[in-house]
This record gives sequence, C-alpha cells and structure tokens, in this order.
Amino acid sequence: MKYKKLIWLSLAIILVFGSGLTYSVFRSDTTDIGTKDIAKFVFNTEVVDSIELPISDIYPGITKEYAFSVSNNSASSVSNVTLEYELIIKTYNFMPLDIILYKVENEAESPIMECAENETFQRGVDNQLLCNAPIQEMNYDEIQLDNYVLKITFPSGNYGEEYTNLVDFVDIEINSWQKIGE
Amino acid sequence: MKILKGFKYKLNNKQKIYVFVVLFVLIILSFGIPSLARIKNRLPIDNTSTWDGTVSSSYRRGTGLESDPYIISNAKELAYFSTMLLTNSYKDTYFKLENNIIINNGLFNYVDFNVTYTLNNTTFYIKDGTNEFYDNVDCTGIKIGTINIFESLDNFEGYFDGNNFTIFGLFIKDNLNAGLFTNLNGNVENLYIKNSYIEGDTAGGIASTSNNSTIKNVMVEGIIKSSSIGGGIIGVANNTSIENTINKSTIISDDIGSGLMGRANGTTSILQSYNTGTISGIVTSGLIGNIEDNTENVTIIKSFNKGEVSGKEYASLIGTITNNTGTISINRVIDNTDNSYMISIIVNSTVNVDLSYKLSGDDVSIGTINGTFTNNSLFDKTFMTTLGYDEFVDNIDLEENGGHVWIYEEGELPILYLDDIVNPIASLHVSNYSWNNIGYILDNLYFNQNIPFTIQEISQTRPLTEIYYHIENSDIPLTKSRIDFINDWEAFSNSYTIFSDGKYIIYVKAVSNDQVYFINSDVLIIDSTNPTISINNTWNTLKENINETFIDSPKTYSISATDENSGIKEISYYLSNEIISNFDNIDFIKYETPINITEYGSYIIYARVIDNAGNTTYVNSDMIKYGGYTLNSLKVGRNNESLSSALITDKSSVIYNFTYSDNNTYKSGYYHKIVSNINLPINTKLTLIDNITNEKYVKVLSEETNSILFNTFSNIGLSITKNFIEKETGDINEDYSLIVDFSNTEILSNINSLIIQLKLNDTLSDRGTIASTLKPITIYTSKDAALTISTSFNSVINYNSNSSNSIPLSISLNYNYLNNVKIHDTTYEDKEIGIYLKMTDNNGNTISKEYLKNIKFKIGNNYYYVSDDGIVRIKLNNGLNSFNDNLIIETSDDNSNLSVGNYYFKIYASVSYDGKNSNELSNGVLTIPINNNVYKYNYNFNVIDNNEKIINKEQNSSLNFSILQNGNLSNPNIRVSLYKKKDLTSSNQDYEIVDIKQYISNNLEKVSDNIYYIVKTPLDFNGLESTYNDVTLNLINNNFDYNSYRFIFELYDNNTFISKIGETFIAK
Repeated sequence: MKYKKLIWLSLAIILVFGSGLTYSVFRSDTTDIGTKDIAKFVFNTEVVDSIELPISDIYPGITKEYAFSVSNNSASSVSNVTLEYELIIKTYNFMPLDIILYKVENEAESPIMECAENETFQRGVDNQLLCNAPIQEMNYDEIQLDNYVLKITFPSGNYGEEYTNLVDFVDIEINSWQKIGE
Repeated sequence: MKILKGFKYKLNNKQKIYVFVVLFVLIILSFGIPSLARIKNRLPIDNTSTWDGTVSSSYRRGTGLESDPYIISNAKELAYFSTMLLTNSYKDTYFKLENNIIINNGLFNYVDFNVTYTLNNTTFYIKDGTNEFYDNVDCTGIKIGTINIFESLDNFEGYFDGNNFTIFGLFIKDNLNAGLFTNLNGNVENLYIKNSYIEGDTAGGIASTSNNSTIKNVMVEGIIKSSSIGGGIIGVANNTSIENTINKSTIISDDIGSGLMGRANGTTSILQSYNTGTISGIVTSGLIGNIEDNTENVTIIKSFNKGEVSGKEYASLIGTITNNTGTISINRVIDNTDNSYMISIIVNSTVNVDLSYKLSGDDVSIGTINGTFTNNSLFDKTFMTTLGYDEFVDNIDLEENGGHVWIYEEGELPILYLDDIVNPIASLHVSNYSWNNIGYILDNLYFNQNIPFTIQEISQTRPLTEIYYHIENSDIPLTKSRIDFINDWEAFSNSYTIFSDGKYIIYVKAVSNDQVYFINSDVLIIDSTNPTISINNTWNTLKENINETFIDSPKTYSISATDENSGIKEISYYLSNEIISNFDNIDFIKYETPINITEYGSYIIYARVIDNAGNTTYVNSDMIKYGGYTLNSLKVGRNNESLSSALITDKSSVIYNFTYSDNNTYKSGYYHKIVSNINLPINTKLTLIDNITNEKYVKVLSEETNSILFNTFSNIGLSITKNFIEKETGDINEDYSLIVDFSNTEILSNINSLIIQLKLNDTLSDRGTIASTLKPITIYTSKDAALTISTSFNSVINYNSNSSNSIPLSISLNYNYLNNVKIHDTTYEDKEIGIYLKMTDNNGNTISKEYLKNIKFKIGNNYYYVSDDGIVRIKLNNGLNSFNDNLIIETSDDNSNLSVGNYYFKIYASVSYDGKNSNELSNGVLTIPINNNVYKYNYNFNVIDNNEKIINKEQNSSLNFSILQNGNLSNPNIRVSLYKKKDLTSSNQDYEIVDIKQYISNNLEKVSDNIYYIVKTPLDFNGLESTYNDVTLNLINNNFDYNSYRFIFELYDNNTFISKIGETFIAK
C-alpha cells in the first residue's frame, strides 16, 4: 500500500509542476470538488461553491442583507496550506441598487467593496458587471471562517412606474489558491 | 314750676346750702367774667361808664381796614373819632363800635317848649343855648351841672358799623348842623341812638346832612330840634338811601320837620322804615318833609308813619312836593295817623301811589294837587282785607323767619326787630348767659345738666319792688299779649333750678315804681341723655373685643346718630388699625359724607357723636379687612393669553390663577369654595391645582350650581380617591390655578359676564376675591371658530384619463369676533390643520380604495395615497396657520372599472392633533366633480408566474404561466408579446418590443406585428385551478441575449384592450 501511495503522489507532482503553472485556480462552480485545497462559501448553513441571488421583489427604501462565510474547511478536511482568495460579485446592474460587501471581524462590519459600474468595475462580454473584492488570506493550520455581509439596497426616492417589477441578479463567486512562498 | 317746687322741698338744709353756695359762685363768676356773658338786645348795662368829657388819644385797636376796622369801645374813643375827623374824612375807612356808649346818663325830655334833664329821678332844666342845667324852669340861680356836649362827626366818608350797640345820652347843640354825623358822605349801619338831644339849624338823628350815603338798621330816639330843617334820621338827604330805619324822636322844627328825612334831594330811597315820633313845624310829615326842585326819582317802599304830625303844611307821609322832574313813587306805604292828608301839596310833580293805605280817618286824601298824581290803589283802612300785614312786610311767616327785619304782632303794624327796646330794669342770668328784655327771635341754648337761674336788678335809679318768674315748657316764645295774660307768675326770691330734660323759656316780670318790665330767656334745652350712634346700622356700641369682617371691594360706611332733646351737634370719626382705649389724643374727623374704604388694609371705624348739650357717645366697628384672593390672571386655553375679560365658545376652557396671603392662620372651621355669579352648567369640569403643594383636584359638576366646596374635589393621581382636606393650622398663603372646562357642557344660551371667584370662609367671615381683580367671561353657544376651505378650481376631472389637475386650496381657521374682540375657541389649540379627501358617488357614498389606487395626490414634492378606508389624509405641517397652496390630482387612463357616471372629490379641511385625524372637519367642503365617461370592464385578470426569473442561455427551457381571467367580456382573448431592455443601465428602464417568435418555439397565431394570441378562447376563472389557462412557452434560450426581457400578457375583449400584465426575466 505504501508503494501505491508513493506512485500516486509522484504522478500528482509531475502533473502539477509539469503543467508549468505556479498556482492553482479553482472555480467555485468547478466540478473538481475532490480537490482539498479550496475555500468555499458557507451560506445558509450549507457549504456551497457560489451564491446566486435573484433580485426581484425589492422596492425603494428596502435593504436586503445576505450573510455568508468563506471557509477553508471543505467538509471533511482542513486545507493544509495557506490560502488566498478573492470574492467576485456579478450582476446586470439593471436596477439602481447599492451593492456593498462588508467583512465582519470581531462583530464589526467593515465595507470592503461597493459594486457599481465605474472605472474600476466594468461589464464583461456577457454584459455582467464584475466586481472583484480585495484578496484575502486564510491560514492552513486551523479551521477558519471569514464572515461577510452583502447588503443590497434599493435607495429611497421617487421612481416612476417603470421601476416596478424589475428583475436582476447578484452572484457571488470565489477564487482561491495556495499562497506561494510560504 | 312743680319741678322748682320739688327742688325746694325735697332737699334738706345742708343740700340747699350746698346748692346755693355753688349757684352763688357761678353767679359771681358770671359777673367776674363779663366777656363770657351775653346780654340780649344790647342795652346799656351797669358796667358801662358815663363819659367824663375827656378825649382818648387813640382808638381801641384796628387799622381801619374792612377786615380790621378801627374799634371804638367808649365815649372817649368816640370823641377821639370826632377830633380826628377835623383833619381826616376817613374815606373808605372802617369803624366799628364794641360797646354801648353813654355820653350823658340823665334823661332828656321836652316839656312845654323846655328841654328837661332828669337825673336820679330829679328833673332839671337846661338853659337855652347852653349845656348847663338848673333846678328851675327859668334856669336862674346856681347851675346844678353841665351836660356833656358831643361834637358831631363831621365830613365822614367811610363806613361806620354800630355793631348793634347804643349811643345813649347824646347831646349836640350847634348853630348850623347838628347830628351824630354832619355832612355825611359815608355809610352808617346797625346803630341805636337813645335819649338824645340834638339841636341845630339843620338837624338829624344820624346825620344833619348826607350826600351819596347809605344808612340802614338804625333807630333814633330822643329830641331833635331845628330852626330850619330837621329829620329823625337825616335832616337834608342828598342822593341817600335809608333802609330799616326807625325814628322815635320828637321832631321840633321852626320850618321843615319830618320823621325820617327833612328834605330829600337827588335819587332817594326809603325802604322798610317808619316814624313813631311826634313831628311839629311849618312843613311837616312822618317820612319826608319836603321834596323840591328834584330831578331824580324818590322811592318810598314798605314804610309807614305812626307819629302825630302838626304844622301849616303837614301831612302824614310827605309834606310838600313841588317842581320836581323826577318821579316820586310810594308803594306799600301806610298812614297810621289821624291826619287828613297823606301828602299836603303836590305841585308840578309826578307822584305814583300803589298799594298804600290809610288806617285811620274816613277818607284817603291828598292835599293840594297841582301836578300829576297817579292813584293806582290808595285805600282806606279796609286794606286789611286786601293786603295783609304779612304781605306788607313781604314775608309769609315771620315767626319761621327769625332773620327777617320785621316783627309782626297780630293786629298791629309790623315793626322792625330793633324797635322793642326800652330801658331795662332787671336781667335774667343762666350760667354765663344774661337777658334783659323780651325777645321774639330766640336762640337755642343747650345744657347737659340742671339749670339754676337768677334775676338781677339793673338800675339803681329804678329799684325793683317785685320779681316774678314763669317757665314755659316750650321752645316757642309767647307774644306780648300772651305774656300779659300769664296768670301763674311765681314770686322769685333767690335762685331756682330747672332739673328735668326738656325745652324751656324763662319769663321774668320785674316791677319798679314806674314800670312793669318783662324779660324772657332764649330757649333753654336741658339734655342729660347721651345721643345714640350707629355705623351702617350695624355697630352701635363701643366694644373692646371685636370680630373681623371682610370686604372684597371698596365699601361705604355711613354713620347715623340721633338725639331726642338737644339734637346732634357733630358727628366725627376716626379710622384705626388697632383698638383704641383712650380718645384723648385722637383727632376725630368731622363726618360729612359716608366713609369710603378703598385701600386694602384693616380698619376699625371709631365714630363719635356730640349733641348740642355736649353729651358724647362713641361707637366702633368690627375690624374691617379689605382684602382676599387676588385673581392674578385669566388665561384662555393652553396658549396662555392673559386677558382682563374673555369671550369664549362653549367648547372652550379657561384658566384662573388666584393667590391669597394673610397675616393670619387657618383655624378650625375654615373652608374654601368656588363661587360664581351665575350657575355653572352641568358637566363643567373644574380642575384645581394647588401650586404650593403641586396637588391637583378635579370635579365634574353633576348639577348646576354656583357654589362648589373644595372638599368635594377629588385628588388626581392618588390610587385611592381622596378629597381636598381643609387646613386647620398654618399660615394662609395660597396659590391656586383653576381650570374651568365647558367643552362637555350643553349650554343652551349664552352666559353673559360669568364671574368666578374663590372664597375662604369661616363661621363669621367671608374672604372673597378682590372685586377689582375679578375678570368676567362670556360664553357663546354659536360662535365656534370655523374651519373653512375654498378653491378657485371650477373644472371637471376626468377619471379614466391621463390628467394632472392643479386645485388651489385656501384653508383657514376663522374665529368669531364681537366688536373686534376675539371669541376664543380652545377646541383647536395644539392641533394642526390637514386635508381630508374622499371620492363619493352621487349618493354621497364613499368610493372604495381600489378605485383610487391609480390616482395620485400631490402637494409640493410629496405624494399622498389613499388609506384602506378610502380616505386620503394629508398633514400639512402648518400648525393652525392658514394654508394656501395647490393640491395636484393626477389621474391615469388605466383606472379601475368604475361605473360610468358622475363622481366627486369631497375635500374638507380637518383639524387634529396629528394633522391627519378627521374628527374635526371644516364646516365647508369642496366638491370637485369627476366625470367617468369610460366604462371599465368588470373583470379579473391575473398571470401566475411560478418560474425562476433567470433564463439560462446555455440550455433550452420553458416558462409556465397560469392565466386567470373572468368578467363580463363578450369575447375575451389573451395575447402575448416580448420586450427587451433597451439599455444596459439602471437609469433607463425602457424596453422595446421584439418578435417573440424568435425566442420561442411555440406555434402561435399572429395578431399583429410581434403580437400573438397565446389563449384565444380562455376559460373563465371560477375559483378552481381547473379553470386556469395554463400555457407553456418553450424558449429558444440561446437566442436570448445577456439582458432583461419582459413578457407582456394582454387581455382583450375582441380587439378592445382590457388590461395587461408584464412578467420580467433576465437571461444569463
């Protein structure tokens, strides 16, 4: 058995370093969920790869809050490397929403990103507005949860009838990778 | 008399001795202090000394001013006056006698053409042309003595007041003019000349000649002898008036002689004068001897002659009247002689006679008339039936008019009051008063104890042989004739005393050898009883222990007093703030008008009454305290507008603030109450706030009342109901606020001038609220403030149309005013004005919310929406201030299916605490007509969308919809179309139609470009799912762009659009 294990390990090292990549990219919606070194969302008590938030039924003056966490624990094991990750918010931005991402530390919320169409965040080829949050780091030697709150607000104001019955979406995705040079 | 007899016999000898000693001392004192004595009728008394012939070097005193005349008190000073006139006429200078003056004390008489002089009952003869007298008619031998000759007062131009004194024994002899005054150019009054002998060429008792002079109130008695013209008062009168003059002298003239004026020249007036002296001469008369060549008028009024007249041309009234251009008027003149003529000769003169009479003889006659004589009414003695004496004296009742100069004796000609003087032989003495003859005009003299009286002999030359007294219990003097008939004279021996209270007049009958003489006293009133006095008919004793009484407004206190016997002399009072036990140093104020207490404070009124006899009574009031609660403020409602009076509506409330402090303390039995002048109505709510203790009490009246006790108030805030508790100790220091709320009352008619006050009472006193601080309120039943709303909008709003209607609104809260005074209505205080709007049908029914959901109401930038009850309530945030702005009503053409017809927006103004409550609405309402010409179908249309809102481009999928519809549509059909968002922004929400056929694979029948039937004959929804019109759109997902799409489902009736519903998706 020890021999077999050594063979598998050797193949993996060859594949990784043989690809020429210096870091691994894991999409949240990847099907390669067997990879151990991955950060995932914990949302509504479930561990998920991405969070999709349909936006309808929101009116002026309403704020909807979505709390979620990012974990280095993929259900069965703790990542044994130090991870870095970034959160990506996608939306059509068809509604006049304020979309702000807060990181919660020591029970305090700190805005880390406002997703709006501007010089920093642009629409992609699929017309979706991509908002990348600052890169975060997670240690490998313990189970860690980074807590976030996404607040989506339809600001108060006088809106015409055309602003009724609108539909949009907000997706949150995560990219994580092993920190190099550790 | 019984009283006197009782006195004589009831006292023992010791008592009599004591009384007589006291009386003796009193009598001695009365003589020793002559200045205190008053001799009635001003006759000479024993202590007036006879002139010794010397001349004083000055007057007694005085400066000659009217206010300080020269005073002459004896013959020496009168002689000094005569001397001074040699060099000083004393023009406009005043003189006054201060005593009787005796020039000679013997009596002059004229007997058988001889002048006699009787001294000490011995008659002597005066030698003709001298002042010597002898004991024989030939005046030979040794002269007995000489008579004092007085030099006439010559050329006097001032004012001489005899002060009702007498010059006695005047003896004047002069070859030319003889009289007390000669060549008089001044004024003489109030003088008596008695026992005089005046002899001269022109002679007169007062003045031999007078010019521009006035003489009044004089009487002359004696002998006047002239060789030319003689008159009892004036010899020759030029421009002279005499009034109230009497001549009783014997006039003996060699030519013209008359009782009053020997000759009258110039303007002459004789008023109320008469003559009783005997006149003899050539031309003689009783009043005026001769009027000749006179250009001025001569008037004789109310005069008479009673003296015998004899001569050549003699007449009773006027001797000769010749060659006068002035008129001689005789009015109310009486001849009481036996002479044939009243006027002897009238030549070239006008004489008017009116109401003049002759008492004796058969005929009225005038002697020779050679001129004008007007006889209007010249009667014989029957005049008594035509003209009474009282009319003659021009006085209806002389006895009631003691100041009148005439004295009326029944059946006799009236006489002047000064004509009753005879030489006294006795005098009557009571205390320091003395009388020596009969008087008819009596004073009242008051005594508060017994009256002892004595009778004194006056004349040593005529000693009394008998003395009697008589006491009348009356204050009305007896007439002379009635005195003659007194038949119960009591012999007087020493002294008598009158003891009992009452009114008395003492009469004395003194008899000498040659005379029976009568004296009466003034009215003597004995009053030993104290007068009674009362303050306000309430207090009538002098108390040391007094109570307190309170007044809340200025009050008047009157003092009344009575005294039965002597009458009230003086009432006086003194205001003190403490009890007085000794009045010695109290300066009482004469009480003339009621006492007004107008200043706050404490007062005891002390009143004093003194009767005319000197009896004094004191009385005092209780402690009168002017004070009480002060109504500091009357405020209306919560806005604290302080008013002196208030006009309010019957929905309002008022707030009073009362304070009261007293330097006194509460005591057992003290209690508070609220008192009003008009009953407070049922359901009046009274809230009493004790600002000292901060406790609050409340009471709601269950019946009308005007008096509410504090102890019926309930404390607010205590878990256990507890009434107001009255204090029994502690200082009185109060501060109450009283809220009177009428909002729950049912007042049927106005309540005018309602006054509410606080009172603090005990069993004896009643402390009210100071009246001047009270503040009335008037409550009106129909003067509520009116909330009004108006607009100039006069159009019609079309319901099912796209319209924007600007409706200018003017809203205000209007108070009523009465004579520019606001009628407060506290109903609206602390509230806000708002707008209350509803939509109604023709019957006034409110249209429900669903029909207004597509209508917007806007003021400024703010939109307002209908509430569930179909009412639109708009808070204006403007307080109670007037509102003037536009209400915008926006309608759309997709309003609900309201039936065709006329509708109305009813717009009220409202007042409420939050500005939106509709309890208080304006009286007026705006009615904005609404026209609904478009019938909206009665239908239901809905699309149930159970799909995810995200279309995944990467794999085909389908969308399922359940379409529900029913209604009264004739041929319903449902169509579908697809719209695509035009712009990838949130700021532009425009969608554009695309051909749905490019996005779905369903084979749909086309209606028009890009529009297809999705259900051409839909089921009518009946509540069951089986009547859903379920449709599935099979998407060609890849044809969707990364964008937002909207499926539009439209309900049509045939080709009439009914409604549409959109469902939005995004493709990603």
